[in-house]
Amino acid sequence: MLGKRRRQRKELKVNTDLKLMPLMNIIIALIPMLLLSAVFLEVKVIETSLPRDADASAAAAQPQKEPPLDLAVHVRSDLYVIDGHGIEPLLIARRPGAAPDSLATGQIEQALRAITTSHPGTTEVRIVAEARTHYQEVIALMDAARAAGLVDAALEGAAEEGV
Amino acid sequence: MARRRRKSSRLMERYASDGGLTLTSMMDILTTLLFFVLKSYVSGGEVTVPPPGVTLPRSTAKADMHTSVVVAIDHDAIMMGGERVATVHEAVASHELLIPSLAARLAEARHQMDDLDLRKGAKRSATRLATIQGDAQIEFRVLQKVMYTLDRNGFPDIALAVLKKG
Repeated sequence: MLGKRRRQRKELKVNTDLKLMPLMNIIIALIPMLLLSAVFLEVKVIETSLPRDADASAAAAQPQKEPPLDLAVHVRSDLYVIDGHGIEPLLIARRPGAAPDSLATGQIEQALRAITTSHPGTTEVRIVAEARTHYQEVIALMDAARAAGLVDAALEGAAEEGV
Repeated sequence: MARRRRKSSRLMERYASDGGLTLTSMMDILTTLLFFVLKSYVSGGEVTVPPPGVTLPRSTAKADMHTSVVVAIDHDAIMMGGERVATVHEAVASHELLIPSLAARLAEARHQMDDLDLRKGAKRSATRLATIQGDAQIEFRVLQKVMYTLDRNGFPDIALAVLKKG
């Protein structure tokens, strides 16, 4: 009788270890699924719009005390030119390639920042690119302008290229 | 000899295991990996992958992408909805700013969107958003022609897709 009870007590002993295998199975299935569907490259956008005829005529109809700044960054074969009404044209050396070097971008940003400081409220800039200017270079110039506080960057083709 | 045998049996007893797998360290790795994957998972906004062959330019832009008509430009072709609509060579060779084949596709897309809005009872939108997924190495003249064609076909709001820098 006593032996039977002892045997029963022995049989009722519960294993307290965690059963990790089902959890492991779920995680092992979940990780490849997430890795396959994950997008690691974050795609962002630069919002822009082309100027409307209506906007231009409205601006022309409005009487203005002083001419607009009309700030522009021109991309030339070997230099960048920053100019506008009442601003001395500023020349920055350009190394032709896919993207402007950090030195040129830094100089452009610094020059534009100085202009925005002296002309508060200016948010518009035209980026006048040559036909063969690479897209990456245009984006880098837009970034420099945005960093200087010129959030409305308009793209324009250089006239001499005839595009 | 007997002493050595006793010592060895004592050591064996001390290091003896029940034969089960030690899963704790593996669980740690997998849990860390799971959190990393979940953190880098894009859960909000529009998820888009540029078509093969298109390397987007890198930028410091922070604006998220919205649902829109997507025009992709690589070295050879101008694509819309994953379909080639014009070649870059054709676009460059033409003296016109407008790309006719792209204009036709955009007009079709615009018509479909208007039709959908009408069925939903929504107000017809005057302007539509389009996203350009251009390769970083394309020339500005191609981009300019695509932008002009978009503008002339009811897509004046243009978003330039870029890869987030850093």
